[in-house]
This record gives sequence, structure tokens and C-alpha cells, in this order.
Amino acid sequence: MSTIELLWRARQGKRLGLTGTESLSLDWKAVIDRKDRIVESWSKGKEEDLSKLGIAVVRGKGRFLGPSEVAVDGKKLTGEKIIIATGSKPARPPIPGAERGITSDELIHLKEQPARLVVVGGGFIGLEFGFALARAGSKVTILQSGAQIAPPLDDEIREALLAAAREAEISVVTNVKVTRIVEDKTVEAQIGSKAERFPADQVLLATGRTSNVEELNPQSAGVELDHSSVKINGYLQSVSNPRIYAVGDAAGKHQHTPIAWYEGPIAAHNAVKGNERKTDFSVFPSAIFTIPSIGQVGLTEKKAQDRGHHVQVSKTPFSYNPAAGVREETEGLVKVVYEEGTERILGVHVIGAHAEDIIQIAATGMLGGLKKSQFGSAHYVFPTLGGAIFDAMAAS
Amino acid sequence: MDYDLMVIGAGTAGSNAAKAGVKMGAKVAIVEEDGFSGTCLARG
Ligand SMILES: Cc1cc2nc3c(=O)[nH]c(=O)nc-3n(C[C@H](O)[C@H](O)[C@H](O)COP(=O)(O)OP(=O)(O)OC[C@H]3O[C@@H](n4cnc5c(N)ncnc54)[C@H](O)[C@@H]3O)c2cc1C
Repeated sequence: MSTIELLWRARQGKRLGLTGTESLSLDWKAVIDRKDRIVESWSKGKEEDLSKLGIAVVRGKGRFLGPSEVAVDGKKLTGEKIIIATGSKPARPPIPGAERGITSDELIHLKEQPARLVVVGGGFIGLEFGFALARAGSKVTILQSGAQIAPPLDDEIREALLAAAREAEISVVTNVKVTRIVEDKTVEAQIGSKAERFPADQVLLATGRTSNVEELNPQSAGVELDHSSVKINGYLQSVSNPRIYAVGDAAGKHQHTPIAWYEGPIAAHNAVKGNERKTDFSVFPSAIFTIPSIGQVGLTEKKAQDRGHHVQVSKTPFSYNPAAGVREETEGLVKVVYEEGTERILGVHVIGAHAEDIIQIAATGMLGGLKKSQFGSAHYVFPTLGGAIFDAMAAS
Repeated sequence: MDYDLMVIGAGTAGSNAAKAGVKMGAKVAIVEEDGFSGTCLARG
């Protein structure tokens, strides 16, 4: 994504007085090869690291035989406590011809960039790949089953994202029921009473991810599931088998790397020392790597209203930010949702260049309990994109 | 019991859990069927 964003920005170099950048192009194969090299070098040594620490590394597929017994390739292993950390995989929707589509796992290994990409699913993963391929020159269509793409977004941020999609010439279609993917990969769909066809060179299936727990044979260990994930309490412990804990995507409502990182040691602590540590997600920043990207923390304006807060909002467009101005990165918005009177910050939403970094400033301030006006009067470095957070806090 | 703590899956969550387990002095095993990079690095 970062390479494609650089390409997209560089192509607009003329606005900055650079010449010749319009003709820059992307060597898809070289980009994928570089990604593979990075994955390889960062993966190297992980297995040895674990065994050097004195952890017994067992290769093979695990499967429960009983409440504290796991079979790995025919070998039986027993554990006083067991942590399920099996992650998730892309769900394949039950659409006739779904096998003709690819998931994100396969898209990042394609040897050739598809000229036309149809994305089934307007959630985060569908949007990220949709934007990346569109910015890289593919003709992209995103088909969303519901009335809105990315339902967890704040409405105004979604509007800004849809405007960016129009500018990127992505066609976003909502309320679509995909009925079939035919042999030449054309996606057939029903929109209201109308049948429509969307021709494609590749079809990306991005309809969510299910936890890899079912294959573990959880029933034999008495592990109850909630949809596809392990049903857990606040200690990450299975509600039905106290010897078993679950972490990361296997436990997961929110599927993010920092959650996996954070939950691992908490579950290990509770498993080894007894239930002492609870998870806390009250301030949890996250990002969507569309181009431009989105960062969010806390409640959307609508959610805050639904919860009965007396909601106020302040906003600053990126175009007010001098750092964004000199870089010609003026598309974007910072929105602060706060409580009237107490000035408690309830949520912050950013769309624009480096939103994924900018949002962390807001999250840290919220964690520290800063009131909106305190935040807005803090010193900050000028001119910076991050300054947009402070300006939005100072705005009324 | 063979182990105090068994972890199934060596992605971000499992690896971190296993490391925390040995730090507390527990006898730990980790089971992995594929690579040791997890979804974030290999597929995200
Ligand atoms: C396309 C994409 C983009 C993403 N982008 C982001 C992002 O920008 N930011 C972010 O924070 N998160 C992102 N995520 C989410 C993030 O990658 C996951 O939340 C995170 O990797 C989960 O870690 P985990 O340790 O729970 O699972 P995983 O990393 O999936 O690890 C699970 C491991 O368990 C192993 N396993 C499974 N079953 C068994 C079994 N029966 N026996 C033995 N081993 C088994 C698997 O082989 C795997 O190695 C993205 C995900 C995808 C797919």
C-alpha cells in the first residue's frame, strides 16, 4: 500500500514543480517480489527464537482430543492450560462460482495486476485492496451487500471516503446481492429488482474472516463458540472450559495485530498465575489503509448520540493545515466528538495523509484523560500534519 | 501433564503468549502447522 501511495503522490509531482513524474508506472511483479523478500527476512529466525527461549516447538496441526489433550500428527500432548491462538482465515461466501474468486491471501501473490478488479464486500479489507489497485491503475468496482460501505465509520468520514473513491474512479455499488460468479469471472448480481453483470479479470472475495477454531475440534474439549470464535470472559478464558484461553483472531471480535500482541501475555499470565489481568479496550485506535487512509479512536458521532451523550463536534479540514498545504496533501478532515459541558473526548476520526499516525496522538490524549480545551492548548511542532489534531481540538 | 502451558498457533498472539509463559517459569510448548510469521506478516 505504501508503495502505491508513493506512486500516486509522485504522479501529482507537477503540482509541486516536478516534471516527468506523470509517466511513472508500477512494476507489479517487482513490488510483489519485494514484499515476499520482506516477509522472508522478517520471518527468518522466529522459530529458532522461540526454541532458544526454551519453548518446545512442535510442528504440525493441533486438534483437541479432550479438555487438556491435543493431538499433533498422531502424537498426544497434554497441557495443564492451553491457549488457542489459531488466528483467522478469509470466509468464502456461499455464492455459486465462489471458487472462481480469490481472497486477499491470493491477491498478494498474483503475478500480474488485474486490469479489472471486482471486489465482493465493502468492509476494510475490500476497501484497502480496492483503493490500492485503483491507484495502481486497475479499474475497480466494489460491491457491498448492505446500504453502506464500512459500517463502523463515522458518517462524515465515510462521505469523504466515498468522495475519494469517486476521484480514484472506483465504482462503489451498495445493496447488491451477488448471485453468481460465471466462468469468465463476470459477477452476476441482483440490485433491487434489476439483474446486473460486472465483468472482471479477478474477483476479490472480501466478506470477512472466520476464526480457525472449528478445525481444532473444540467440542471434544468442551470449548463453546460464539460464531466462529472461542467464547471468552474478560480474562480471555473459555466460558465453558476454565483450562483453556483464547487470544488474537481466534478470540476475536476485533481482528488487529496490536490486539493479538496485547492479549498473548495477558492470557499467559492468567493461565500460569491465575486470573489476575483483564483486557481493556476503552481507548483503541485503529486505521484503514485506503489511499487516503483513515484513523479512528472511540465513538462515532452517531454512536455517541445513541449512547445518550450530549454530543458536540469540532472539525478541521486538512486544507487548513500548513504542512498539508506545502505537500499538496490537502484532501482530508479531522473530526472530534466530545461531550458538552465536561468536554470529555468521546471519539476522534481522521481521513487524510498519514491518518494512521495522526490518530495515535488523539488516542494518547484520550488515555491520559485530557479535556478537549486542554488538548487544544497544548504546544505542538509547526508545521506538521499532526498539528491538525491540536487545531481540531482548539476549534469550536 | 507434559506441559504447564500449551499454545496452539504461532502467529503474533501465540508467539507472545508462549514467550510470556516461559518468562514466568512455566514449561511451555507451541504448536504450529505452517510458517512462523502469522497472518499480519505473511498475508496482511
Ligand atoms: C489483508 C489483511 C490486512 C490486515 N491489515 C491489518 C492492519 O493494517 N493492521 C492490523 O492491526 N491488523 C491487520 N490485519 C489483521 C491482523 O493480521 C490479524 O489480526 C493478526 O495477524 C492476528 O494474529 P493471530 O496471532 O491471532 O493469528 P495469526 O497471525 O493468523 O496466527 C495464527 C497461527 O496459527 C496457526 N494455526 C492455525 N490453526 C492451527 C492448528 N490447528 N494447529 C497448528 N497451528 C495452527 C496458523 O498457521 C498461524 O500461523 C490484517 C489482516 C489481513 C488478512
